[in-house]
This record gives sequence, structure tokens and C-alpha cells, in this order.
Amino acid sequence: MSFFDAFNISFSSLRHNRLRTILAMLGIVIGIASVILIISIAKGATSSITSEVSSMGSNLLSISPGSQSRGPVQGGGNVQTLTYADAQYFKNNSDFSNVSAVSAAVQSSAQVIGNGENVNTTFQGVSANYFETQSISVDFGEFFSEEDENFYSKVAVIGPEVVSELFGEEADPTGQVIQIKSQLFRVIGVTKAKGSSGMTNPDKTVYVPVTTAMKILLGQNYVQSIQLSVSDIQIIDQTTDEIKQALMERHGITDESNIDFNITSSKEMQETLSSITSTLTAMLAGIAGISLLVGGIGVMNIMLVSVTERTKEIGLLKALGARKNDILLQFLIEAVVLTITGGIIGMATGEIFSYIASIIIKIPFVFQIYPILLAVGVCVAIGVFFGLYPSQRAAKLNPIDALKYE
Amino acid sequence: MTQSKLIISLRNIRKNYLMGDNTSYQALKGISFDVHEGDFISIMGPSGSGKSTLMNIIGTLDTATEGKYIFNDSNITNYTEDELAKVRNEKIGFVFQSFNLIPRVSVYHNVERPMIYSRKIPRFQRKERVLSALKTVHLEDKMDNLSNQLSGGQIQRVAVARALVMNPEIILADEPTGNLDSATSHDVMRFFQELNKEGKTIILITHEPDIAAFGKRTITLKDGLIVEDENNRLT
Repeated sequence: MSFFDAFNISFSSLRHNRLRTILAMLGIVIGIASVILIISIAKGATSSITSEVSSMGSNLLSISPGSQSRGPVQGGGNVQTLTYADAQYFKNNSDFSNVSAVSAAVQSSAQVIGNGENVNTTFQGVSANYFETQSISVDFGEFFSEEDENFYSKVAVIGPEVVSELFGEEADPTGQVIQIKSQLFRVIGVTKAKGSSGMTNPDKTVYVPVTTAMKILLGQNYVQSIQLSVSDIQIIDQTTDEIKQALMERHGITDESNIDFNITSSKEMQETLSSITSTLTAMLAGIAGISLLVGGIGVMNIMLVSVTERTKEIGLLKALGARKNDILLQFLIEAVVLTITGGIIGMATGEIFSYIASIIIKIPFVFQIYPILLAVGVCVAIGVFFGLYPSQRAAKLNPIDALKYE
Repeated sequence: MTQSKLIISLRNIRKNYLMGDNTSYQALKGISFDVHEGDFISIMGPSGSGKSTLMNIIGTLDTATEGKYIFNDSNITNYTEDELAKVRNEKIGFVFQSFNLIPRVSVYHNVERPMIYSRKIPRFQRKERVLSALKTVHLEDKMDNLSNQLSGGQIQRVAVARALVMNPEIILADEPTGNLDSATSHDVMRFFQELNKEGKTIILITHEPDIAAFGKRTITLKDGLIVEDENNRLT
């Protein structure tokens, strides 16, 4: 029997039992659609997060307090080992020629009052060149200067979402006064809208000089992070090492296992994020894959019912000269046609839902060919794997027993 | 008178079945006879006489425990399953008592089916051969019908068309009138007679003497043995 004939016979049999075929396919449709949807959403989220991290620049080093080498991981917020003086040390020391900009940062949340309105938001104490290192630009006014930093100036640069909540859409609040933790700050600039990255929202942040934030708003003498930009990215590893050694010396640490800070490059951060998202994607796709397995078992069940129901027919076909392999091929193709058709419908459904989901959760819609190829491969494999047993059962039937079957 | 071509030669065919309690049951106890081209043999016998077992062996659906089965000068006694399938496909045309047609496909596709399992007939010849077979049974106008749109007699004639489509050496009919009323049964049998007159070799299994009478020769079985062979008696 030719492949073409086997396909025709299988297709006509599937078409004859439409409802059963559709129900058997449903498991595969749901399985494939969920895998495609999950991979697509995960890819969209990954691309959104990585583009956010990349926008910071790949030449960035971030020092955060705390140690990952001893006991549980300590968050940067409550560890007090990093100081403003550390940041100033790297800024003013000419030994670190590859370091082009240094910015210390602290962060907290507070109620911000202005123009008779109030908003609960995040404020960040940052150095003057923080905006440069983070690729943040101004829409109105200007950023604060090093002088503002040195003199604990009570000036603020605010994000566009804060502006619209306090002063209304498109308003220019420069020169206006806002109140943070009972302290009055003069607004000197508004940042350009950048969009939320899911981790932080720079558009809803109030930036003040780091010194002002530490002394006046938070009353603390430590910082939560130090950002450094390097000029030559080729020797970033060497620079990282130099900074590490210098900071260890400053903190009086001789043993690397007692280190009280972490240095992360933005590249590392990207890699970590992409590794986390890949793991999550694999895990979720694995869970969705279970539904594919269930779908495959459904196909096997239907094929077994079909073989039993057509036992007499199989006997007749054998009497007409069908060989074992002809019967095997016919039923196997039936199972594969079932799973591939289910797979194609599942893929289309998955892509449509991915597109809708990308609009709803505001992530880029990522169309990728590899999950589709994977899905087709998986469908053929499921069809063959779960169709083989029923097909073999059909092929092995004794023609006399089959013809006598009631 | 010259003897026509020998198609089938059965020599001392025995068939034993192993029963559940490890005893063996002898369905055929040594059957020997020849089938020549143009024969119309009715194999008759009561229930349990072994006629169905004999039909299954002649039709290569089953194999004998002992004995020799020669088909067209070839000893097919020890053929493999696939070799026997080829014999069934090319040399034997089956007509069964019931479940003769695949219900979900048309008359055309039912008649075409044996050619699908053959490597000898090219695709482009299929339609012509189906039409010719259906013309022989006068059902060319029912080509697109499903079996549930046909009468019992018509279904058996479609089955005959399917049996003829590969132009086999013999037609093996197992109780072809078992599900038909007597008028239709006689129509179908007269049709078999016509085919035989045109040169087709037919072996008919039946338990009804009046149906067996349509054949040229009647072999009667009882308890796994031939008890009567009318043709032999005549000669």
C-alpha cells in the first residue's frame, strides 16, 4: 500500500467519526496551545526585561552591600557596609582610570505632596551623574549638579507619572515645590518617559541628591548601591578586580570569604535574568507539556477504541490481501494525522492567544519559528508513540478471529 | 476430453485445535481433493463438520496442521503471513456471508480496496477496473452509494465485483446467501452460475442443499472428513 493511499484511507476514517476525532484532538490542541502561549509570553517578558537592562548600558558595574558567600543571602537594603565615602573614593582616585562615572544611590518610599495633591511613590537619592549612567534624560528643566550633591541641596527631578498625578498631564512643574517627609524640595527637572521594566518604574520616581536623601530624609550614613561606568569595556574584568581589591582594603578585609559587598556587571545581570527566565520558561513549558502527555494518552485511548470497533473490518482487509504493515501504516497514519492536525490548530490558537496576551500585559509579541517546529516534531512523536501500540494490535489480529468478532 | 488446468490440490489436510484443557480437537481429519479451472464446487455439511475450517485453509486465512496445499503448482503450506496475504490478494476473491463491505466508504472505494494492497496494478488502471467489475454485476450506477443505500442482494453483488476486480484464479464464497431471502439467494446463485459459465472457478461453502445444487460438484463433509463427492460419484 502506498503512503498516499494509506493517508487517504486514514483521513476518510477520521472524517467519518468527526466528533470523536475532534474530542481526541482537543487534548493535543490544548497542550500545544499552552506550550506556545507560555513560551511566547516568557520570550516577550525576557525581551522586555533584557532590553530594559541593556538600556542601562553594558559598561555598568554595580556594587551592592552584603555577602553571598556566608549564610543566607543578605539583601542590600539592610546591610550597612557600603558608604558614600566608598563611592567618593572611586570617584576621586586617579588610580581607577577606567572608571568614567561613579554614582551612589539610596532608595525608599514616601508620600510626596505637591500642588495640593499627594502620591505614594519611590524616591531615590542619587549622584549627579546617575542619569548619565542610566540613560535617563530630561523633558523639562535640568538634572541636579555635583554642587547640589556637595551642598545637600533640596532639589528634585521627578518622573512624568509623578508630574501628572501632582500637577496634571503635560504640566511643567519646574520651579514648583514638593514635600517629601516634611521637607520641601524644589523641582528642577522632569525625566523623559521611559516605561516600567516590571522591576522598577523610573517614570514614577522622585530623584534627589544622594547626600540630601541620606542626611535629611533617611538619616543614614550608608548607601544601598554604587554604580560605576567604565570607559573601556574590554578590560571590565580587570577593573572589577581592582575595585574589589581596593574596597576590600578599605573595609579591612583580607580573606575573600569575608567579603561584605557584591560587584555585578550589567552583562552579568542580563545573563542572570535570562537564565532565570529560561529556567522559568522551561518549567512552565514542562507543566504545559504534561497536558500534551494527557492529550497523547487520549489519542491512544481513541485509537484503541477504533481498533476494537473495526476488528471485523481489519479481518476483511486482511482477507482482501492487506499485509501486517499495511494495517499498521493505516492506523499509525490515522494517529499521526490526528495529532498533527491537533498540533496545527493548537499552534494557531497559541499564537493568537499569545498576541492577545502581549497586548493585555504590555509585553512585545515575539513570534518564533522554533516552538512551532518543536510542536510539529512533538506532535509527530506523540502520534507515533501513542499510535504505535493500537496500530500494532490491529496489525497482529488474526484474520479469522477478526472476521468472527462480534 | 482434456483435463483443465489444476488450480488447487489438497492432500491429507488435517487441522487440530488445542482446547483449553490441553486436549486437541480435530476439525479436519485428512481432506484431499483437487480444484480445476472452471470448477464450481459446493462444499456442504452440517454445523461442526469442518467446512468453515476448510474454507479458511483454502482461502489461506489459516494454515493446516498437517498435509500439503498446492496452489498453481506452488506448495504454499509453509508460506509466511505476508506471502499468504499476497496469494489472497492476487489469486483469491472472497465473498462473505456478512460484513462484506466497509460501511463508511462508497461502493467504488470498496471495490477498489484490493487493488490498493496490490503492487501489480498501477493507480491509473484502478478506475477502469472498478467500472468493469461493477458492470459485470450490473451495478455501475451504484458506484457512489454507501452500503446502507443498497439491498442485501446488491451488497453481495458489490462483494462479487470486489472479488472479481483482481481477476483472481478462484472465487471463494462463504455462505453468500446466508443473510438473504430465498428469491434473492437464487438470484445471487444464478449470478454465480453465469460467472462460472464465463470461466470463473468458484468454491462455495453452504449448509443448504438447494444452494449447493447450483454448483457442478458437491463435496459433503461430516466430522472433518469428506463423506460424499458427487462429481466423483458421477465420474
